[in-house]
Amino acid sequence: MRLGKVALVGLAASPWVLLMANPAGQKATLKTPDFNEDVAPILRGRCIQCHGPEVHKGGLRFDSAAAIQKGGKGGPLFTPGKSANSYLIERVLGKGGLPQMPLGFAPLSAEEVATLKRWIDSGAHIPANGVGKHWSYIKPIQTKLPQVKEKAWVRNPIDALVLAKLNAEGLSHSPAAPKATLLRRVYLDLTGLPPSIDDTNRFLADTSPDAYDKVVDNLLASKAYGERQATPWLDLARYADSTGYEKDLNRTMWPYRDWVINAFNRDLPFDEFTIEQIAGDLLPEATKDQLVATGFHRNTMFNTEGGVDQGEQRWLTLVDRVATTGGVWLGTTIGCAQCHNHKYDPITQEDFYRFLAFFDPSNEPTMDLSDPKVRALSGQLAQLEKSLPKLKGDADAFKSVSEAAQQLRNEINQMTNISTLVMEEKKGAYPPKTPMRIRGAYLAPGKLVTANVPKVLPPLPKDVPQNRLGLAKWLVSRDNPLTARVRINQIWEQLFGVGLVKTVEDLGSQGEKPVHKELLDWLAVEFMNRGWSTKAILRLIVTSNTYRQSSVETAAMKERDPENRLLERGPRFRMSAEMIRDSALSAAGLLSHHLGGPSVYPDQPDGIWNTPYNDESWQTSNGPDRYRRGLYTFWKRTSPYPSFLSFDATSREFCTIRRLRTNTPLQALTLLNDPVYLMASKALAKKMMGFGAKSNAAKIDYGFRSVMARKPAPVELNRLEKLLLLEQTKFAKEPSSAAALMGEKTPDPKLADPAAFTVVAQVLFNLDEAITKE
Amino acid sequence: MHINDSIEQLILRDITRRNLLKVAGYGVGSLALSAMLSESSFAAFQKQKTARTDPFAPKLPHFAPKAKRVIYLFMAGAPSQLDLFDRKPLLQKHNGEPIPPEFVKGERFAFIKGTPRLLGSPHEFTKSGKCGHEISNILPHLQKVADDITIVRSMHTDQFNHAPAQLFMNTGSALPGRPSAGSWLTYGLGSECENLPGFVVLISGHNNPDGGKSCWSGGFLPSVYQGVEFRSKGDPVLYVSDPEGIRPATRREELDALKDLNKMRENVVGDPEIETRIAAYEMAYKMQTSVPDLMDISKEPKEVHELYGTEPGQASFANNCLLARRLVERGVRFVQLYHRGWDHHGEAEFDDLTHGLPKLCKETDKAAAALITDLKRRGLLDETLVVWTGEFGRTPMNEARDGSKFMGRDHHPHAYSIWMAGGGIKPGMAYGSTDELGYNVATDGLHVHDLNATILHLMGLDHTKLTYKFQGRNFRLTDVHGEVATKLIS
Repeated sequence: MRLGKVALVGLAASPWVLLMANPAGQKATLKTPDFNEDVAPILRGRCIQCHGPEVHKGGLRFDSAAAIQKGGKGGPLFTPGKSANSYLIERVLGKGGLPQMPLGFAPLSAEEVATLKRWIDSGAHIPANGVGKHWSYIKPIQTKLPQVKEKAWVRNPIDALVLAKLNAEGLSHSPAAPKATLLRRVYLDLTGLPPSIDDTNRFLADTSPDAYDKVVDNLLASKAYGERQATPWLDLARYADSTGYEKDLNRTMWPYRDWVINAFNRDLPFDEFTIEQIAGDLLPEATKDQLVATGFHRNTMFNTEGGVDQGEQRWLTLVDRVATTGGVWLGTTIGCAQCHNHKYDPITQEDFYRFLAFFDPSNEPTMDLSDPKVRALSGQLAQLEKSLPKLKGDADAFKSVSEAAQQLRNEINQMTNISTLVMEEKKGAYPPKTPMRIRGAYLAPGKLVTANVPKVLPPLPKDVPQNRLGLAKWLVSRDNPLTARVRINQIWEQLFGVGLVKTVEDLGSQGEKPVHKELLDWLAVEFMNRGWSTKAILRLIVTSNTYRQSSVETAAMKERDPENRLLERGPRFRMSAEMIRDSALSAAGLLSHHLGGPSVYPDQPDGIWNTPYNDESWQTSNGPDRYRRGLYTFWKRTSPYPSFLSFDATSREFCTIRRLRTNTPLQALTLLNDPVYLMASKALAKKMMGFGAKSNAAKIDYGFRSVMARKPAPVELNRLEKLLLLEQTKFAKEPSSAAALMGEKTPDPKLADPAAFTVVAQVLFNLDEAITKE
Repeated sequence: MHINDSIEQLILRDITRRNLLKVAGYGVGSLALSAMLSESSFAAFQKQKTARTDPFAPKLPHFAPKAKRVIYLFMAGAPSQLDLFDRKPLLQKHNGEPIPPEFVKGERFAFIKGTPRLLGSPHEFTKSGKCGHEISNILPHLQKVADDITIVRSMHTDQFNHAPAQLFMNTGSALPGRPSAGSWLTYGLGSECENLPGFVVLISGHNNPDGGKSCWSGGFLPSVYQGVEFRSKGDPVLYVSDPEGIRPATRREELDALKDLNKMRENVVGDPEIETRIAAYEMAYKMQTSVPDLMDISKEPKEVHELYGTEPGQASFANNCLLARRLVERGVRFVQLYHRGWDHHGEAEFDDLTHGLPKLCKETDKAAAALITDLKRRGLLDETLVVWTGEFGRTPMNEARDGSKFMGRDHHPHAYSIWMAGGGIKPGMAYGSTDELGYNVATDGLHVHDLNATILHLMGLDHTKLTYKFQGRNFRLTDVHGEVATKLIS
């Protein structure tokens, strides 16, 4: 089998080349086309915009069986069994002297036409219930697990499903990844950090059958796990530390960010995770924590420039909340229905405004989070300060007490003036209502509508209120066909680089049809069955043999399935911006493991921030805060951290569900020249030289293992030794260059070695493998 | 084959990473295209096509273009059209009188409260050039190139706050998240320059623009198409300079080792992405030479510096204008200059019409005019479209915020003036007009979407067909609007 358009095979020898969205890859099927599976998506995607329930040009509509059978003003579309004389086929081919359909759009592909022809030839059967629902609007079920010959390979149902599919295509799985490769993979996936040399050695030495499972459990229990999981979620939550737009003022939202990290760490079930973020304030006796969680929808931007229409600004935040909720939980582009009925999915403009009404009656307060311990600490501080004058005679005592006082002062400063933005429902606004807006324009209010969910989806459950809390509970109800699938698809994309539905943001009719629907559905149901436990589902996936496969890509694989949609091998793709930074700092031994707290300001070139009417400036953090994990970097919307931006991080001005991965010269310049990576190189060089090995080879081996978590092959080691020798010789001859590189004022022959090792470390951090999960 | 589809497929093939093996299959689309396009200039353009396969490799436009590149001078803050380009004798006559209420009924203003009073311009205008463009005397240099420029006095927009209006001008949407015109153009056409980005941004003036970096964002396009800022202080492109102590020879040795080691890994894991990474590092190495070389204006002859008013080493609009010329000479597709500070509300002397406005003119007038002159004498103007614009206009009324005694004008989306030159624009033309108070457009309105449609058209692209599918929908720079202003085109 060929994967049709998905199999864009090839390799581009170019610097600016990138990986990017590849629109829908429907596979060519030679079986008799099924109306709902094969024909309806074409009609919905290509025809229904002009021949549907809203507009029926030429009297033709494709939204019901009867209408399709009847045809339009041009007469019947076809005689079942005879595609050769079909008016429908004639029009989509542009034959018979009439313009080609769809008018003004790209014509149907040869595959699409062939599908329609085969369907007509096979009798043009349309099921009795008419045009069936799109696949993702039907509740997922776990199909009976297939039987495969190679039972020994099946560790859990994921493997049975994957292998059965591979076998059906006449293919098989890849061998298991080397242990060291697997270890680094699972470390990066679960914690975002590479294993240390000790971690690797311990794992390689552990021959017990559950060695890997123990590692997985430890990683899931580590604090870094929450940081790793939170990072992509913060893209969805459009979390940032500034308001956006002109002044782009700083705002305190990091308590929300910390809530997300902690929620993952305590494995807050995804249904509760959802409810607290959408409507934590409406829970009975809501805790402070649950209020902080509602910061999810307070992450919207707000234009504070002089002369804005405040009402319009607020309305824009409501629109954003609808689009974001639709994208994050429903994988639905509901935002498209702001101005008119959705052109492809059965979502009306009224659905959009009914959804928006859920968010309308909210007050948007700031919650004080100053620590109650502050009062006690302030008392202690006062006492210390009082005792100081008495100690003037005793220099030592004076010094130690004044130091203690200073420390206390710092602590108090950190605990006061903490606030965060939260949601609060307006009193007496039940059920919530909002005016529709004609053509989506704020200045054109239309009829008043009451909060409710889109009609194409199951109704609000009977036992929930008709407000934000009800909406949240509906999102995670067992009847909702989308949420679990959408979340599983997001998780799958994080691990495998491509979602089971590639268009993670859109499981609607314009999105990709899942390559492996049975697997997606099985996992979605399993996720709910296991109490929406993210840790449980991650454990299941990363312990599967599917996940453990080698990511080596053979020439044959490159030809038949370059994106690995059939999962014939393990994942191999470039790390995220944050992970690249974290990995380098970790390997260099510089990374601070401090969890949470206010955002930090790692090294950034001067002159990046220059916002109008805003004097805030980037004050580089001191001490360990220079080396915090990437997710703690201050995220300014109009001017995001530049080295993250070149690695495809987003501005967080709006919800981003899928970062496209690119591969560019600006990334190369960043890794080669950003002072952060130079500092990491120097630190790694120091470690290489200082851990006790005598030979250069052993020192390089140590550096290599620190970054790549595997031993270098002899050829690799030789090449690096050659470089080291060359640089040692050259720096010895140019002591001023060595001094400059090492930041020393006076040239000193002793600096040649550290300088040469720094160059080697730079090369290590710049290797493709160093920034790639294999 | 449909033209839109084939262009998109070409682009997709060009930028999808696993690509080279399929370049042979390129033929179908190209053939279909060339069959539809028979103009001789287009044939010439096709011949230029190199073997490049990167996302910036020149791509076929939809039809023969008038312009090959754009220099876009964005006067952020919104210059006052009534004091620069749109002379209104009636405003002068009724200076100080309350505006007739029918004009302002139901209007939203950023700052004006109550019934504002009309404000005649404190500046004189001169009929300039053979074409007789009326241009304010605070733009004396522009007056001298009047015959080369076309003034549009009928621009209008939907937005009346800076950040949304700047985003709207650039991306066709008042909310961040859509690709800017420069991104669309480099996505659609690539760039003729191999060792510089296809879309370059240069900033001078008092701050970054109000819309922030989203003004030159690639939006949902792959980030490779976002504008790259070339800075006048520090590294011209972030991280383009080697760290101290790393000399070019050392860098070369590092890159050689990197290439060897990456190849070794590729032989093991077989991932073609590694080949791309190697190429990216080689291109980065080239940029380390090409960028400083580009930015070094010190070797330009003295008369060029006198023409522009440039001083090497300074951060100024003048330097950026000269850099813009150097960039388009090298084939960069889209160069955008921002100069912020035109927000003349008249709160105090610094932002009033008699001090603040002339100051901004002084910062920009000479260099902008020099750019036209310089491009023209080098034979570059014919194929370089120059656009000068703000994000909206200013009110015909005095703002008088909190009773201010200084003259100033509030934000005004209904009418403003821009100018364009070169690249297929009829020179010396006056396009469109406003009513006698300059409040509303009277004839030939040019909406932001129309301007963007026209820019794409001049570059050989049909704005309704340059699309990118995102979240299930085909997006365009012009949303579902925009009409090409054919009268503007020579």
